[in-house]
Amino acid sequence: MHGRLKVKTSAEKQAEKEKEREKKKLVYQGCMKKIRQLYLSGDRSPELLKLTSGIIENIPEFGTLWNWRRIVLLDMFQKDTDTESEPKKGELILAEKRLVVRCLEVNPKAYALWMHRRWLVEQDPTVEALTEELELCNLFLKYDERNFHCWDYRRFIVKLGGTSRTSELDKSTSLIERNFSNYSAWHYRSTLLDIQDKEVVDRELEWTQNAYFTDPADQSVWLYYQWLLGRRKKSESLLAVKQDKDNSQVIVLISTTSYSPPIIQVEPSVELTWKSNAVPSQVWYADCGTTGPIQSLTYGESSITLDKDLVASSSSLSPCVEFTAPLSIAHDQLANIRELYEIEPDNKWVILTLVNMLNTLHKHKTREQISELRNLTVKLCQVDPMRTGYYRDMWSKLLCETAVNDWWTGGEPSLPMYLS
Amino acid sequence: MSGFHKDVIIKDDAPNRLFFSKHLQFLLSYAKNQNSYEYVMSEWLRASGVYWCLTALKLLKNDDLKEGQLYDFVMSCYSKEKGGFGASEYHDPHILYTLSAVQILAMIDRLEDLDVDNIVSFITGLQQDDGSFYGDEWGEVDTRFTFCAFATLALLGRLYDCNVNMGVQFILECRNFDGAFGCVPGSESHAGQVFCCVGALSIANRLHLLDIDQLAWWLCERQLPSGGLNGRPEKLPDVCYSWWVLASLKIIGRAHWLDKASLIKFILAAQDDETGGFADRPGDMVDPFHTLFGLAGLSLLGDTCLEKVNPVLCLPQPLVDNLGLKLEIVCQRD
Repeated sequence: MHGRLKVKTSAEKQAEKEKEREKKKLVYQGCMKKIRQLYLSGDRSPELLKLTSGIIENIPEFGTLWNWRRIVLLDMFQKDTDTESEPKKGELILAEKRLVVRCLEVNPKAYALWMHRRWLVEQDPTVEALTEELELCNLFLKYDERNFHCWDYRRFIVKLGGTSRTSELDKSTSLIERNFSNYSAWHYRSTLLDIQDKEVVDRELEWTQNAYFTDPADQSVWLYYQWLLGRRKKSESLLAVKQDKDNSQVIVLISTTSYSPPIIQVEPSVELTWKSNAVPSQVWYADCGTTGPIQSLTYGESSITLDKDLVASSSSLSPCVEFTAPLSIAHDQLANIRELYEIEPDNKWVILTLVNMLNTLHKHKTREQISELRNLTVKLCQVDPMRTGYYRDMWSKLLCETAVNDWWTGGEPSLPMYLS
Repeated sequence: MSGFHKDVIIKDDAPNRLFFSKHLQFLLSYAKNQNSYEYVMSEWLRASGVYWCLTALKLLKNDDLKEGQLYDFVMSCYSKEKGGFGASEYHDPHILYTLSAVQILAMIDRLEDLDVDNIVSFITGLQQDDGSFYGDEWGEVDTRFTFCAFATLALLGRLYDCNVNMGVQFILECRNFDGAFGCVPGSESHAGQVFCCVGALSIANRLHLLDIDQLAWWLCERQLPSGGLNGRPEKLPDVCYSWWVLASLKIIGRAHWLDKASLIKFILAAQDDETGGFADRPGDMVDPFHTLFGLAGLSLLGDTCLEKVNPVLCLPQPLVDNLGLKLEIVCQRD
């Protein structure tokens, strides 16, 4: 259904093709009829394996036939343990694996094929078998390094103990060094690293910098870089609290979504049962009953003291920003990006990264900084006009966040805010 | 390879207007000629094939297909013993074809004839402890199946028969470094999976769990210079992504982050002016799958010749309204 070129043919060739297809169709219908007759009457013989393989090699996505093959095989495995009959389970599995590979050579993206292979491995997950599966993955990734079925299968084998995390990290390194455009390898890398470890991040930043200086047009490395700088785990903290005037209920807003009730210390001390209407949630409430006014709450590293109106917010509540990296990293990296911008002034990835960095580093912005950002945003619309809608909203959001931040921190706003 | 990106070039003589009646012809002849090579050989996914044809015809405001025949076909796919539907008669039930079957029955207004409890227990029986759903008893897991489960249950008015919280938790486990979603935890982000996850979160009323701006940016980056959309970085554009990407953006209120005119141009160029129907990209062979998603994409982009389509369930919007289904959509500016 994908990637089939329409080729114009003569009427004669068309008629020939029709005859060919009619023949194929009749063979298919005949074969399917036999398969159904046998299977639905309870037959579980090797004849079914033979008949279904004819169909399955042409239509590998035919899920039901793979199911029926598994049923037949399970029946044959059972017979193998009961008697001295041929063929043995091991041989059957080998033959089936060979069939799967034959089908994969034709259609490496059929879900049913990878699933059947998985089932075969699960029947007999020896160390040798897992090594063989890794080799299979290496082969199919060589054919197509973006085949996500193969990548998912590789992750399945690794989980079964096929190899180590270090070895897989090395694998992703070698794939990326061969081709920076291998988004699948960059993605895999992101799942193998501990992004909370500063040493790991520093090392990755250096390596990524080499990649984007070498090939600044490649989007994969920029997305990975953005992630390195930004997507840290938010610390668990209280953002806001409110208690009803009659003291009957208290509501909290926490910084991260939680699947289970947060553990919150209350002053004066009382055990509260926290509930949420939809899990996971950032909003939790508790019935206070006869507690009286609450003075303060502590959650994680943060504490909030309620005012006389029984309401309060954390001073760390701030507008959402694109990057949450420690400032020291961002300053170093800014110098690199500015340098690259001199060399590649029309590269949308460089400009966008520069905008995001400047926006994060300068929560309060001087007129000059706003002017620079405006010019960069205009440049983005020129070099990447398709995403003008995004850049307009990005600019609007930047202005809003800047204005709100100025107001929040009690600073002198560089921009007037019109709320009408 | 610096600066080189995979894309197609749209020829100057490529189709640039909608061949409404040709598509009608293509779809009706496909659906009615049950002895054709294509019909016979697509047995393994026929329930979905019929859903694609029927929905596309509904978007073309056509009611020619006989509802009685459609009902008989769908019910031939039903396994009373298991409670699910297969792709065709005698085929093993699977969650994918169960959704297609229920979508067809919704369009022909025969949901009331179902043994709803039986179908619901087929689906809830597939949910695992980690919130994920198997496709069938053989244990394949994929966020596509979460969408199928939520959508089918929602159409039957029984969403909360499954563990929605855990289902949502599993979806979030599939979120990647780029903010988009894959098949299972650890899988690479893919626009098809994004649609399934966003659609499921919409049904569950949990869109607020997304970082919408981050995800929408990844989605709008799917648009290539030709105007077409791809499914992930460095891949060719494909008309079906006019659905997976565009519908996702519609649901999260950011469809205006795409360049509308060039996307329309790409979709129209993928039509076949001889046979009718849409292909995955200009010059390729057409099929009902791409025809549905090409038409649905054009409908979302505002083509007034076509029926309005619901971006979560890919069903005619009037039907979704009649069923009283409230699916969460973030308002967008235009």
